[in-house]
Amino acid sequence: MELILWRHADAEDGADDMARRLTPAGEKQAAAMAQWLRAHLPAQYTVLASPALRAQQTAAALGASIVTDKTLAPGASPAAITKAAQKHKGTVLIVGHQPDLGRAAAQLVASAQSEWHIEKGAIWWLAGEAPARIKAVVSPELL
Amino acid sequence: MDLILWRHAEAEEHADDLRRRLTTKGRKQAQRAAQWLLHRLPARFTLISSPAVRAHQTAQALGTPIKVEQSLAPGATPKAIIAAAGWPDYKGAVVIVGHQPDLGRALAQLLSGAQGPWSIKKGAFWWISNRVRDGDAQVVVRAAVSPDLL
Repeated sequence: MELILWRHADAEDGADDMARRLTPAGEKQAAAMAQWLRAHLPAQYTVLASPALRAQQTAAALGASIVTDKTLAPGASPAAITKAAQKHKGTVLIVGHQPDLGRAAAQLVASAQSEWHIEKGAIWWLAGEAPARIKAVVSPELL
Repeated sequence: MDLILWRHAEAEEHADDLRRRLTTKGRKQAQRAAQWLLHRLPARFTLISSPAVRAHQTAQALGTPIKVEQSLAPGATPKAIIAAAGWPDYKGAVVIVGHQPDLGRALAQLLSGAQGPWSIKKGAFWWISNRVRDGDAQVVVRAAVSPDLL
């Protein structure tokens, strides 16, 4: 399995956490990351996104169809994230939140319960079953 | 500090392991990674290489002075690699060019405290940095890419 964990890009503050929009800088981050992803993803892949608006907007930058998965909302456990990915075959891209995605990465790569930092708008590309190999880490600011 | 752990690019076979040279493909891999790094590294950085020819040739792609460190030769321990880099207190950026599984063991230790080794493809590099946030020391992966993804 190939699993790409993508943290939503920079978002505005807001009282309603689920309705926070990307800032102009966040929109640029998402676009830059999407361009890199399109150059390196296989022809077929599945995009799963948290229902939070900032995750939906980040995922939309890819221009592919998005499956919204409520179990990926802020606070998703590593088990929930893995389970959501395993429902699909092939390459799966999950757009979600911190610290959730970093916890899932630590679990999948190192079988560790720790909090790995993932920068806003960055991707961690994992390959293989646990223990997964880290194929790439890319942040939009370095593109 | 910023620490880049860079595995040497593809090399030819040779009876003397330390004298293996990069292949044509390996030279291209090194160039591609070097171009990417040169656009993103600070103007001043320290470049340290294993004495093996394939590591030294990879480091040369950056076009800056190279410090050869015997302790980075194949078989280097995580402790030796971390000491050569001056991690975590060095002020600035350090690029270490070395070997597998040595670099992958050092990475696993720095990032997860585990034994590893983590996989690093030929010519690939990991860029990590440390910082203190809310009183906690954190290690952040800024990039991990192989030449085919650049």
